[in-house]
Amino acid sequence: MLISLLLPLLGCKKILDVDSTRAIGDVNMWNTLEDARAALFGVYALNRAAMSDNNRHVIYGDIRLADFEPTSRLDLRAIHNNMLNADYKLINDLSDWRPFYATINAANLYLERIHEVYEKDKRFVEQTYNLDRAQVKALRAFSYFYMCRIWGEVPLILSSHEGSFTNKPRDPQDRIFAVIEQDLLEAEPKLPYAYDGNDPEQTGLYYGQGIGTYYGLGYMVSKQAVWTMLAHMYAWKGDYANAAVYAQKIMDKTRVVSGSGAALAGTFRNTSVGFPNALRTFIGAWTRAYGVEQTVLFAVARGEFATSGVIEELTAAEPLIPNRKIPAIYIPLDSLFTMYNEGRDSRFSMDSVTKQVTSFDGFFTGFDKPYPVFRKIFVTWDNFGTGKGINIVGDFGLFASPIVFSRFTEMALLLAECRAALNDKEGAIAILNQVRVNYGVPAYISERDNGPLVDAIFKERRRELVGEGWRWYDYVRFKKIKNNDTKFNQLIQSGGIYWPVSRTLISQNPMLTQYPYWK
Amino acid sequence: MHSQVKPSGKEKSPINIGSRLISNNSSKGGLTYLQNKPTNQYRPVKSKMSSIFLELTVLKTLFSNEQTMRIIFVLCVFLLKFLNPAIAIQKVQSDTLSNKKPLEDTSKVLIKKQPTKSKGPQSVPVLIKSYFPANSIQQYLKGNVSGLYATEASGEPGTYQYMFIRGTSTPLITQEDVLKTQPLVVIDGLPVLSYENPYVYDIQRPDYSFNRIGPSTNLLAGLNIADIESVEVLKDLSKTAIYGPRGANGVIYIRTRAGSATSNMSFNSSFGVAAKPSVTTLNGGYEDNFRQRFYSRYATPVQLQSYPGFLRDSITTKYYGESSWADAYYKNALIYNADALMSGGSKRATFKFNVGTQKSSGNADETSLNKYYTSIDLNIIPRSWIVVSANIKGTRLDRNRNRYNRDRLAEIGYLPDLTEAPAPNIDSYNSFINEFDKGFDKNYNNIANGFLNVAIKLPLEIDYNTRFGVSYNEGGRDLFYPSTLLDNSNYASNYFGLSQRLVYDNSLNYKITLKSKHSFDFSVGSSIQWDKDRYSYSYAYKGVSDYLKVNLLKAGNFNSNGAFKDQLTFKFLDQTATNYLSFYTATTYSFKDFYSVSLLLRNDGASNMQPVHRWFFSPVLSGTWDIKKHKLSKSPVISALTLKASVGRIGIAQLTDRISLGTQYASEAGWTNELRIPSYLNTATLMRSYLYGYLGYDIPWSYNEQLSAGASFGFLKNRIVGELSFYSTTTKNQLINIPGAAEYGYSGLFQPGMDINNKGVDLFLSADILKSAAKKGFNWNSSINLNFNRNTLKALPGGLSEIIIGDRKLQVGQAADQFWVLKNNGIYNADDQVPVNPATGNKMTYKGTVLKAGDPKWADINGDYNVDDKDKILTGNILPAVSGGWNNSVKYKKWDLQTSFYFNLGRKVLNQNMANRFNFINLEAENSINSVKEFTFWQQQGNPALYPTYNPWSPVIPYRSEQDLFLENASFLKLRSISLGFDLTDKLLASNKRATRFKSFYVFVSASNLFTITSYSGRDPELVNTSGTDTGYGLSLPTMYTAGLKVDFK
Repeated sequence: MLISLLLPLLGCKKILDVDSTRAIGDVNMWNTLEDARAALFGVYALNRAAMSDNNRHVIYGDIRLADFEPTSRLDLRAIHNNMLNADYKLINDLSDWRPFYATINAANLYLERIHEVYEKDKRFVEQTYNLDRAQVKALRAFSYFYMCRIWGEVPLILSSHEGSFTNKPRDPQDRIFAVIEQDLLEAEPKLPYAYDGNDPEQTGLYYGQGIGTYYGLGYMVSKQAVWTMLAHMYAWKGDYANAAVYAQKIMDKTRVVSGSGAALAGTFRNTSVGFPNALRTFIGAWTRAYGVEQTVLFAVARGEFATSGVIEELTAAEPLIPNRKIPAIYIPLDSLFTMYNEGRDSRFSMDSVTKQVTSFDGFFTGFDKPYPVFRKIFVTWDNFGTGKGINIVGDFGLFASPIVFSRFTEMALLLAECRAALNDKEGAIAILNQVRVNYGVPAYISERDNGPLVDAIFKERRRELVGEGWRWYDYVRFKKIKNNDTKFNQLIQSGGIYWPVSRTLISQNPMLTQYPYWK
Repeated sequence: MHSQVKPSGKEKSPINIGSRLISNNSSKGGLTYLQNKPTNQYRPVKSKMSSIFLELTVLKTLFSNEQTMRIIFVLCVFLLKFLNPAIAIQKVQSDTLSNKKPLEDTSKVLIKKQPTKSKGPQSVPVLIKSYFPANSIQQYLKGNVSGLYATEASGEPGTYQYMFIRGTSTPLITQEDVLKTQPLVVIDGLPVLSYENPYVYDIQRPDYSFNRIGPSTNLLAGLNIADIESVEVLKDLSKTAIYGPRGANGVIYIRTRAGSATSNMSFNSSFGVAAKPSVTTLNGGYEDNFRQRFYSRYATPVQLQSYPGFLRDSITTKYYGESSWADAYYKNALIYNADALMSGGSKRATFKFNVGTQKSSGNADETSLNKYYTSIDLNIIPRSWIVVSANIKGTRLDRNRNRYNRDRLAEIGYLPDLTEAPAPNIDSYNSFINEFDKGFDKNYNNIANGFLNVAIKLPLEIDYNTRFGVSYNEGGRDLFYPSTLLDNSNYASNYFGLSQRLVYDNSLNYKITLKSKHSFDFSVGSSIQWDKDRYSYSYAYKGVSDYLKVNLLKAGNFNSNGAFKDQLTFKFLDQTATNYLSFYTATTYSFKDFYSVSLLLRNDGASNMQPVHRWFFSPVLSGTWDIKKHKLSKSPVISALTLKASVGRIGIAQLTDRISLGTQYASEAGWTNELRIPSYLNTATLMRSYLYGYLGYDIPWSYNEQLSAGASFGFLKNRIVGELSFYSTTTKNQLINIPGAAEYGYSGLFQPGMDINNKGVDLFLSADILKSAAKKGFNWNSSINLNFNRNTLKALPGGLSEIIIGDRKLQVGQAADQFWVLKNNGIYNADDQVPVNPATGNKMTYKGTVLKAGDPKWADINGDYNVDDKDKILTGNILPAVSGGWNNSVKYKKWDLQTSFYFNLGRKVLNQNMANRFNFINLEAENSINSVKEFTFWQQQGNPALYPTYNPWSPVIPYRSEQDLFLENASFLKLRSISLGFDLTDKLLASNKRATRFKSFYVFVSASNLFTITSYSGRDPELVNTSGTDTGYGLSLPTMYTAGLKVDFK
C-alpha cells in the first residue's frame, strides 16, 4: 500500500513530461532542413498575410483617393475620401502595422538562427543557405518598403529582440531606405533568375521540387524581383536615375520572364484561352517562357483559397458571381469613360456610334448591372489551375487570385516614367507607345499633340494597372514630379499622404508619434 | 494549435513539419499540396511524424468506444466476483459499518445512507427540493446556493451554462477565460469532465465563435437530476484544497443516490410543456416606418437611392403582409422525464440500479435535448475490514439545435449576399424549415463516469483507501446543409471529439484519541490524473448532389471522386494531454468537540507548466470552534453556534498545454478572417505564434490566496438556522495576454503577474416561521440565500496600471468585470450646438472627426475637445453584486406548496441587440456576420422610443454599442418555480388494502419561469453572454408547466 502511495513518485518525471503536440517548442526548431524550409516559407506566408489581411493591398492602393468607389460600405467610403480618422474597425485594423512587423520579426529571427540548421543538418547545403538568406533579406526589405509607403517613417528593427521587446520610436526614412538598399544589393547576387535549376545560384531541384510546385516563377524572390523593389524604392524617393538603372535592367537582363503558371490563368490576359496573341504580349521577345506568356516579376501567391483578403471579395458580383447582387467596390462608368478615353482601347471602350460599351480584354463586365463589375482579376476555386479564364462564372465565393506587385508592363511604364522625369522624352515615348499599341490606343506623338508626357505615362499606368494596387502611390509620385499643387505639397509636408498610426499602437507604445495631419 | 490534414490524390502521407500534420487545402489540381517525395529525400525529422502516427494509432485503440466499454466491462466482472452470495451472507455486525465515518469526505463507503438534511448550514449537503424541470446541474443549483452564480444565456436546452463561485478570478474576455474560472464538479468522489475543451477555438474565427465546433453541449446536462441525493458547494479552502488545482474555483460535490440494505424501488416521472411565449411580431411596414425617420431627416439623395430592396416595395405582401412566422417558430413543446430506481442487498452488499430518460425542450425553433441514462452503484463488504464500492454512470445526449442563420453561416464560414431579410410570414419560415430538413444536424454526446474504490481497515486504526476512476466523454456533430440554403452550395461537416480523464488516488489515514480529549487525525495521499483530448473535424463545400448526404468526410474514406471535391474539403485534427500529480498530507487536531485545527500541505505538479515551475506547494490552515458546545451549552436561545476560519493558498490549473513550451512556433499563415491557412506555395510553414501572442519562459503557477471566516448558527431550537461567511480570495500571478509588441510582430505578450481580489459575504438563513408538531398542522419554512461579491484588480504584470484589450479596459484598483463605455448626454440637433475649443477655435471632434448635427453628445471627460478612448468610463458590472434566491415551503396536512425566487442585483447589461437595430446602415452595408438577419428580426425586442434619432450614416457611428446609452440596469427578480404537491400515500393505503406495496405516493404540479420583475428594456435580462452583452441571440427561457409523481415501493 505504501508502494501504491509512492508509486507516483517513481513515475513522477515521466508523468509530468508531456510534450505539447499543439505547437513546436524552440528546442525543436532550427534543427533540420525541413525546419529551414518551413521557416523560409513562413516568412513568405507572413508577407502574404500582411498584404491580404483585410485586403490591405487593394484598399491602400486602389480605394484611398483612387478609382474604386464603395457601393454601400461606409468604412470603405471613409477610406476612399481619405477620412482615415474615422473610427471604423476596418480603418483601425489597417492603421495597424503589426502584420508587416510579423514578417520582419520572422525574417530577423530567421537570419539570426538559420546558421544552426546549417551547422546541424548536412543536407542543408551552402547554396541553399545563401539563397534562402537572400530571399529572407529581400522579403524584409520589401516589408519595410511597403510600410514606408504607407506610414512614412516607421521603427527600424533589425533583430528579433527575443523576449525583451522594448518600445522604439519611428526612424528617419533615409535610414530605412539605406537598410533596404543594402539588404537588396546584398541579396541580389545570391538569387537566381528563376527557381528552375538553370542558374548557378540555384541548381537542381529546389527543396526537391521542380518549378511547377511553386506555380511558376514570380512567387519567389528572384533577381528581377529585387530589381523591381529597388526601382520602386528609388522612384518613391525621387531618385529616378537609380530607378531607371534597375528598370532598365529588367528590360535588358531578364533571362526568362518570371511568370505565373496555373495560378494566374485567367488574370492579366496571360492565358492562352480566348484572346488574340497580340493582346497577351508586350514585346514578342518575352513570349518564349514556358509557352505561355507570363510577365509577372514579383507576386504574392495565393494557392490557398480564401473568401476574405482577396480582391474578388470586394469586386466580384453578378454576373461573375450569380448570387452576389452588388460588389463592395466598383469603378463608376463615368470614371471609366474618363480613364479610357483614347481610341478603341481594348481594355475598355465605348463605340462612339453605337454607344456600345466593350471591355474586350476582360477588364470590366456587367455594364447592364447597377454597378460595372471588375473582371480583370478573377480567379475562382474552379478555374484556378485549369486555365479556364476570366469568362468563367464562379458559382461559389472562394477565390485564389494572387497579389501581383509588379509585372513586366508595370516595369516598362516605370522606366518610361523615369526617362520622362530624367528628361529623356524620346526614350519614354518609345516605351509608352509599345504599351499603347498593344491595346489599340493611338500612339503618343508629342507633348504638343497629346499633352504633357508625364501625364500620358501616368494615365497609361492608371489604365493598365487598375486593381493592382498602384493608383494611390502613382498619384503621389505624379504629384511630386509635377510639383505644382500647393495643397498636395502641404499634404506631403504634414504627413497626410501617409496613413495614421493606429491609436491602439500609440497607446501601447508611447514613443510613437502621429503625423500632424492626423492629430 | 490545430493541424490540418488532408490526404492528397497522389500520396497518402502528408509530410509532417514540426509535429503537426499539414496538408492540402490547396486548389491545385493534380499537385500534392505538401511535397513529400516518395524518395524520402526529406525525411520527417526526429521521428516527429512517426511518433504522431504511432500516437494516433495508440489513441485510436485507447480512445475508441470499445475502450470505455472495456473499462466498464472489467469493472462489472470485478464487481460480480464480489457479489458472490457466499461472501455476502457472511455475518457481520452491522454497526461495524454504519458507525464508521467514511475515510475521506469524498468516498462513499457507507452502506447506510448518508443522512441528508433538508435544511441547515450549507456546509453540509443540502437537499434541494425543487420541482423545476431542470435539465442541467446549473439550472438545478441556480438560486439555491449562496455564492454560486449560474448563467443561462439561452433557453435552448443543452447549451453552455457557466457557473461562477464567489465571483470571477479573471477578466472574462476569451472563452478560455470563462472555462478557466469554472468550478470543479465531483460526482461521488470522482472529478468529472464538465466542459468541452476550448482548444478548437484555435481554428475558429474569433468573430464567428458563438458556438464551439462540434456538439457544443453542456456536459453537465448529462447528469440525471433525479439521481441526485444531495449537492454540496464547497467554497472555502478548508474544503476545496483536497481537490487540488482543479478545484481552485470551488467544487460542486454531487452525491448520487446510494443503495440501501433494504430493497427499494422508486419511480419518478413528470410530464409537461414548455409554453409558447406571446410575442409581438413586426412586418416590413413597421421596419419601413422605423427607418423613415432616419431617411427623412438625414439621408442624401444617394443614400435614399440605396434604400434596402426588401423594404422598397410596399405593395407586395412578402414583407409588408402579415407577420406570421412566429406561429410556426414558437411552439408548445413537450417535456418529460421518467426515472426508475431499484436498490437492495444485504448488510454485506448493496446495489442501486437506475435508468431513465428526459426530454427537455425550448419553446422556439424545435430545440430539444434528449437524455438517456443509467447508473449502477455497488457496495460490497467481502470481509469486515474491506469495503469495495463501484459506480458507473452512462449518459447519451442528443441535441436538436436552433436554426439561426448566423450560427449556420458561422459554421460554414462563408457569407452569401445578406442584403435580403427573411420574409416575416409563415410560408417563408415553413419553406426555410422545409429546405433545412433536407439536410441534417446530428449532435450527440456519450458520457461515462465510473470508479472503483477499495477501502481497507488496517490494524492500529489505519485506513487505506484506493480509487481508480474514469471520466469519459465523446461527442460528435454530423451536419449537412442542402444547397438551397446557400448560394447553390451544399455543405457537410463532421466532428468527432473525445476527452478522457483517468484518476488514480491513494490515501492512508491514521486516527488516534488520547485520554478521550485530544484526538489526532493524520492522512497522507497521492493522486494522479491523466487528461487527454482529441478531435478531428472536416468540412466540405459543394457536394455533387443534395441527395448524396453520405458522410464521406471521415478520415480514410476520402475519395476525390466522391461526393465532395478534393479542393473543397478541409480537415483538421488536434490533441492535447495534461497530467497532474499531487501529494498531500493533512493533520487534524481536535480537543473534545470544542476545537479542531487542521493543516493541509500539498504539492502539485502539472505537465502543462514549464519544467522549472512544474511544482507548486500549497498550505492550508483551518479551524473550527463550536461555541455552543464549549460555552453556551445551556443557552436557551442559541441552539447552535460554530465559528470557522481558514487561510491558505492553492495553485490554479491552466487549461492549455502551450504554456509548457515557452517560445513556440506554429503554422499560423492566415490573416484576419482566414485563420485556417497553414501553407504557402504548396509548402508547410512554421512561424512564431504571432497571432496567439508571445509566450516566454519562467512562467510561475498562478494561485489563490484565501482567507475566510464564518459562523453557522441556530436559534430557538434550530427554528432559525443559518450561516454567514466572509471571504477574501486573491488570485495571484495570473497569466494574461497583454496587447503589445506590435513592432515585433506579436499581437500580445503573455505575462504573469495579474492579481485579482474577490471579497464578499455569503449568507444563508432559514426560518420555520410556522411550525406545528401536529401532523395536520400548518408549517411554513422560508429561507434566503445570497452572495455579495466584488472583485478588484490588484495588480497587472510589470507594474502596469492599466491595459486595454479590445473593448475592455483593465485598471488597477477597479473591478475587472466593468464595462468601458462613452458617456452619452443626448444629441446635437444643430451644427452650432457642437462645442468649440476656445484655444484653437476647432469644433469638438470624435477621434479627429468633427461632430455635426445628428451626432451624439458624448461627454468629453478630459476636456481636450476630442472624444476618444480616454473619455470612456469604467462603469457597471457584468457579474451581479448580489445574487441569490428566496425559497418558501408551506405544508398543510398532505399538501405542500413551494415557491422559489431568484434574483440578481447590481448588474448591468449592454443592449447590443438594440444598438444593432439602430446601426442598421453600417451593419447592412458591411455584409459581415453581424448583418445576418433572423426571423426574430421581426419581433419586438426592446423599446425604440428610448433612443435619440441620430444620423446613422455619420462616420462617428452614433449607434456604436460601447456607450452608456445602451448600458442598462439588469437587476431582476424572477419567480423561478412554484409547485403544489399532495401526498397520496395514506389515501391509497386506506382505500386499497392491496396497495401496501407503496411506501409513498406523491403527486405534484409546478410552473416555472412565471414572471420577471426588471427595469431592463430588452428581453429577459438573463439572456446575455459572459461579456454582459445582450446580442439578441439565445432563445427565451420558457415558462414550463409540469405535473408529476414520485412513487416509492416497498
